[in-house]
Amino acid sequence: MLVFSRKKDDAIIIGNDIEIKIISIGRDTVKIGIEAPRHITIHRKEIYLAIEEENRKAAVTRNINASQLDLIKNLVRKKKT
Amino acid sequence: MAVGDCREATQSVTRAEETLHRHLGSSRFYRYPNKGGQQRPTLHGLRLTLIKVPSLTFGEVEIDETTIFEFERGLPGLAGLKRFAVLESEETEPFRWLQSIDPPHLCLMMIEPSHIKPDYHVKLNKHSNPELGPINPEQVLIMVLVVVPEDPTQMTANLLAPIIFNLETRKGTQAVIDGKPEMLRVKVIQS
Repeated sequence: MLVFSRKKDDAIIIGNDIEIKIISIGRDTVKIGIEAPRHITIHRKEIYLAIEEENRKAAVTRNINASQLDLIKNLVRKKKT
Repeated sequence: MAVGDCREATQSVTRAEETLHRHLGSSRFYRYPNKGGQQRPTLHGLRLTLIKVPSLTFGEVEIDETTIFEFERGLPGLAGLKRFAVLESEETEPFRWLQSIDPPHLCLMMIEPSHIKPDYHVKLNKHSNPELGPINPEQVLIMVLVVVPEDPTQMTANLLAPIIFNLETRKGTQAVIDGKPEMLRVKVIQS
């Protein structure tokens, strides 16, 4: 991993069009600003990992049988009315 | 477009539906969007190109290739899946299914977020998700993925990362909205 020391208002350029800027430095938190082209997705890592996990769990939800589906369907519908 | 073409297309839709019913027994599956009696806006007189997709949940289903959604960015955690169809059935309302085309088999359960949170909304603009193409708010479908544990009454929906479908461009994506991490697992059936 490439490691830099940066001060407040310093920045890093990645490639030609991604800029990461140190906005402020607190005791335990750094605030950073990112400028990148629209097609680059940016996520907080822990959120991204959690979404990955939820997606994988949703993908194994395949063995729902008809009676289970009926049950949840009815529960959801009942709630709505 | 000639009238004849139109009729031919309609006939092939009917045939396709018959085949679907044959394959699915009593289940009635439709290609999305298709609410009873409405025009099928995606067809534009085109002939259907049906492909057969083995689905773990439904066995083999036939899907009109022109209704497939492309997920350029794929789904986090499910690398390599880029093309999906939306399956819906009156019998399984309010759930719909995100059926992977290649590789097939994978079928994810979805629900409309309004069933869980009536005021749920997602801010969309052409900058936030360029992979969807130009957005016409009336031609967007928003669904959330559902995780069903062993006890189905405990099932949760991921309201933090909704699935957005652009019905016009047939592009889809999983967006991430601003919100607390708890929104990843919101109980569908709140006691």
